[in-house]
Amino acid sequence: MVKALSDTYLTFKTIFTGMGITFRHLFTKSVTVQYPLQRDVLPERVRLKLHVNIDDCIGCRLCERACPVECIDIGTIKSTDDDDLGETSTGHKKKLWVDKFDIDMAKCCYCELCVHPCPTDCITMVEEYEYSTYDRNDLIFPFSDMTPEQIEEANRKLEEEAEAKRRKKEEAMLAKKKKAEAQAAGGEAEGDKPKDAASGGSAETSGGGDKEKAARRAEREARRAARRAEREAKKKSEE
Amino acid sequence: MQQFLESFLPAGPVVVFVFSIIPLMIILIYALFAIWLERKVAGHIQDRLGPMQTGGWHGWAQTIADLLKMIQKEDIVPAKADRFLFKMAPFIAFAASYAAFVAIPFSSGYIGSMIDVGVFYIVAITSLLSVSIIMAGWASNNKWSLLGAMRTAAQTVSYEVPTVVTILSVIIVTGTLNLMEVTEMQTGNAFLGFLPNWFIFHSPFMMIAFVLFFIASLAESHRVPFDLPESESELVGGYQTEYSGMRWGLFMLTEYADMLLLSLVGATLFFGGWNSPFGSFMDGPVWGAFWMLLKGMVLVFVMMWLRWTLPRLRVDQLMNLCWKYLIPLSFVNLVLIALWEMIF
Amino acid sequence: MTNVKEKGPEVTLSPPVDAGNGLKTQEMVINMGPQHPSTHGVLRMELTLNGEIVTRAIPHIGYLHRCFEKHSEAMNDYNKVVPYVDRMDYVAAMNNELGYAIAMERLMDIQVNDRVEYIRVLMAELQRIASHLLALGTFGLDIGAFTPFLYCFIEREKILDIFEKASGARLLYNYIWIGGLMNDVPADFKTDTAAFVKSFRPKIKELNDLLSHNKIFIDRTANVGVLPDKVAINYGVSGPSLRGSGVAWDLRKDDHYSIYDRFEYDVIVGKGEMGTVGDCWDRYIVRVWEMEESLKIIEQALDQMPDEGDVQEAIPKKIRPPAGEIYCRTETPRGELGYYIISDKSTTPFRVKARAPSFVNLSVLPAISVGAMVADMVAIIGSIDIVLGEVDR
Repeated sequence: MVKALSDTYLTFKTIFTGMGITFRHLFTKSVTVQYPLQRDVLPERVRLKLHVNIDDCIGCRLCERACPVECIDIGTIKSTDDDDLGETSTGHKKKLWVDKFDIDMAKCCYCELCVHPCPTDCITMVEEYEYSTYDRNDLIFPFSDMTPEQIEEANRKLEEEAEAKRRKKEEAMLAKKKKAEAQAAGGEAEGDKPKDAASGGSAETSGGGDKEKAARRAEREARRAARRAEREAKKKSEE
Repeated sequence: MQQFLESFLPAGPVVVFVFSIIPLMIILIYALFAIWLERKVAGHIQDRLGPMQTGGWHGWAQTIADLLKMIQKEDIVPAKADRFLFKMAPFIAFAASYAAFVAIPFSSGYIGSMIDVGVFYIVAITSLLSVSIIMAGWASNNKWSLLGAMRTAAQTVSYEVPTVVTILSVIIVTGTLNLMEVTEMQTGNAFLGFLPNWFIFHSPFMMIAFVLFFIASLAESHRVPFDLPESESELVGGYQTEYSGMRWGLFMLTEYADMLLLSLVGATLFFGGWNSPFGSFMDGPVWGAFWMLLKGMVLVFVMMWLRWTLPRLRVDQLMNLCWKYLIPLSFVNLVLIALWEMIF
Repeated sequence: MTNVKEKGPEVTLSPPVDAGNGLKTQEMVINMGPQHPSTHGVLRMELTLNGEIVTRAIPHIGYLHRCFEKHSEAMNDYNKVVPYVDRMDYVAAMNNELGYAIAMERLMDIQVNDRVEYIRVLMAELQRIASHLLALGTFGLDIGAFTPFLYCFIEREKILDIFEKASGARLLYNYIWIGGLMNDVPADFKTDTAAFVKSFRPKIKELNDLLSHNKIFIDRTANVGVLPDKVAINYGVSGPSLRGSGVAWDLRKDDHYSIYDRFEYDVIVGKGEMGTVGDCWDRYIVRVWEMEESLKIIEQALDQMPDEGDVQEAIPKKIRPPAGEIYCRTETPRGELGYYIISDKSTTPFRVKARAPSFVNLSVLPAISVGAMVADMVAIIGSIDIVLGEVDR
């Protein structure tokens, strides 16, 4: 009996306490953000849509390799010696035509692993999140600005150059052969080897001090911020 | 009211039809409003806003939009269901709660039917609701629905006892079952000069009777903390699981109509029905309807408030509460009220 | 004898019993899930019911299997596993990352500096609170209380805001990397966290008033799903579910990983205040008070955290661990999360095995749910707090 009474008392007491709390909340300010009408201010580091500043891309494929879901697809064409692709804004020499830079945002897992290894900071995550489409294929964003004609041209040039090189090599071989034949009578001689001019990758091989590292990172952050500001200004001016 | 209608309408079936359609209009408009209110109450209790867009001002048209959507939906009947019972159940459910409104005095000028056994009629006709729910649960041929239906059967049968006994304690005071007469007995300011002559202030035991009635009516209308028949986190949707579209909408309508019905019965029995709380001020048939619905809506609001505060009981605890607490208490209360009546 | 043959174990129903009036009664097999609102995802429970009383419960899992372990073996970089680790226990991603990072650092013998350690602990404890809030909220939802769920979510959002500022993501952070962090925390991290701690304390009290000490809630959860300590240990249950049974086993205290021995906090155990030790209410209240302990750790860590330090200084240029293997366990909000990593000296992991606490905790379900009612089943599943993403991996 006592237990029944105390239970009844407890029940009513806790119910009224609960009702008091809910009643207080009836008049507290709501936390709802009326989304299409109001928008939250997103923090600076927010990870949303991937964006590539193709002018700065050197086609090193580090981002492609870093992606755990393989949503980045890059195609490059070697430039010929007479082409000058210019430099990136970070001072890297561009040596490759980037004829394909497709990012499949349907596959992207927004991990940002691709952004960090980029030597020229050309791949970034931008504050854009309203890009849903009716077709999954529309979520593949091509970033390369090369037209098919340009790609064909680049390929043709590369082939021509390769052809020219091959011919040159053949001629050289032929000449060498002739020379060798000629020299076979005279004695022994060595042919010159053409030196391979390819550089050993874009990454700097530095043991580096921490300070240097930090400085580089700071520089990178600053560049990113500047680019962000630029983009926003552009957006505004467009509006 | 009937005379008023007869003054400009041809007599006969048309008047009867118009006369009988009035509660339906009230139920429908109330349901549209109450579902919107429920969403708003839930939203604000949970620090949200609730519907805001549909219709412009605070999403007032949300329920109308939902209604239109439900009407357009495909009427799905499960392949292995008992088609006839499955299709009939929502109509019987709604018919039961609609029919009960006939004995409610909405104002001094309007009551559907002046039946002398009004309260008894309401109690009897609402029992049909549990029949329809068992029909729905059984006909769905779904195990979850069946569980929900069995729970409903047990719950409704049990909770009818305390409901009736608490109603009986009011009947002891009034001596009549006619709700119009019950209301008329509560006119005026009697107690201490300023308190209205409502039965809730009649004696302390009346207050206990009201609390018991309110708890029992929560269970009767399947509201939290007694919403076991449709408890969505346990039984998926209980007897509603297989229903969709307008048939489901009818069950929803029934639930809200039931809430209003029991709130109005509570208002009539304990809060003076269509009587103004300020004596003769703001009195009259039209104000009467206003007061009646306002009192009903306040009780409905409390039901909503409870719903968004409390967890749900378990089925054995529900029975425990009913048979071990409510029924003995209501009987003791009945005796005490009878004694109070004899002494004073 | 009726045999119901389905995938998984064969369920044998008892023969029909004559109820005495010509009617026969028999047990009923009912599938709870995978599309049930209270199975916390896609768990399927095969319940054998006698009326509403459960006579047997068999959990079926695998609806969310994503080959996490096989995926990891296909990653040509150990850091690429981190986003996949996030997706195991997706409501406590920071803790998953922390466990993986610590395992790899032990394997490669990397020492991280103090700032990294403190930020990691802060993140892990904030994540623990966020995860417990979700667990408590959904548990309330299972019992039928809708509102506490949203109050919990409001607080959880505040934590996610802090995470978003630091890492850029709200749920799957990829923030704790092997040897460091993705980014240093933003400048206002300390003030944000301190403000959260301050505003959160009263909310715990509010939650207790609204839900924990509500008589209906106590009736629903106390003495329900009692998990005795011996059974819990035998099944390998860990985390709050184990501590709810009164076993003071917390890897933060007992395994001395990271810098947890620098802080003062208590290990909360269930005491059976409202019923038996190890019932649903105990498991619930352990989580509530663990949030309080996490707040204590956060406060101390905020005080002690050094302002200087490069969070990326220990990140190796190329992650190529020496050949060998390691098992490393950490305390996530759900229990002991262990990583067993085998390296073959290449940059690709040879094997990454995760000992998922939810998976192990789930195994105890059949043992404690016999005799419960259907409504209790929901409470028991909720109190064990499983995340199906982690159960199935």
